[in-house]
Amino acid sequence: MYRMLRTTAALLAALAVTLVAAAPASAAPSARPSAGAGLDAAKRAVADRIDKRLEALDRFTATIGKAKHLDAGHRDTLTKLITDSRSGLTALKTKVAGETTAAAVKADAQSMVDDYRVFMLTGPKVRLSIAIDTELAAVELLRNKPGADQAKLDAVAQSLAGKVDALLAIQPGPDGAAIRNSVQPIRAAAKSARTTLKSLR
Amino acid sequence: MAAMRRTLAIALTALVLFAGGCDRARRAAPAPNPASTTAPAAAPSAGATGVDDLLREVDQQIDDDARPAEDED
Repeated sequence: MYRMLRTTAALLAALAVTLVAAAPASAAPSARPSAGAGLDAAKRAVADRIDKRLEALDRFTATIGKAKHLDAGHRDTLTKLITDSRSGLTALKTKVAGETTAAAVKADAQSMVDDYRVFMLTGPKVRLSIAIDTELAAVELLRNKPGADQAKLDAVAQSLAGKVDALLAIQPGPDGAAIRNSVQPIRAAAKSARTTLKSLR
Repeated sequence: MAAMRRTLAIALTALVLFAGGCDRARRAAPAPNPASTTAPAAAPSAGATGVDDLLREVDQQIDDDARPAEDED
């Protein structure tokens, strides 16, 4: 009987120790000062958003690597843009980790968007540059086709002339609508050229 | 008589071998294919294939560009 009681007591003690040990982990967030928890959460959220941009930059690098008809100058410009963006965003992530105020984290988040515009501008720069340079390569190939409509091919080439340079010259900034409006005509030109080229093949 | 039979046997053997060889050569030779005369015109030219490849690459980039980004900004 005494032995059974002793075993039960030992088991209860072990259970109590386990519960006490586990408690701080689950209670930790609420035990902290709410301002500190909020700051940590904000820093984590911004760091996650920076990571998404870094991953996107890696995908852009892979896309550029596979592009067979991207002009060499355009390739260099895009590669430099991605390298600079990557190092800037990596430094910003380190800065975010060391911030001690919510205002500073908010400013970092704004910088992450305004100074880079990875999704709104860098992505379209990569994709549309490749598309337009490839369309220009298709124009030259179609010129060799017997009976090719040279006038239409001239018009397509003309519609695309200088578009990639104009696209690559667009700078990131706080005015997102202005950036979209600058990219849109270039996107439209690429789509229109694609339609015409498909009709001429 | 025996010599004549031997000569005849050799001649027949040679004839059989010769006929078998001719038949094998005929089977090995490619039969004229009616489609082969039109094949060059029907097959896409190298240029057309190249243009199709290029336009596929254009499609991929423009389609990717049309997909919603992870973040709007």
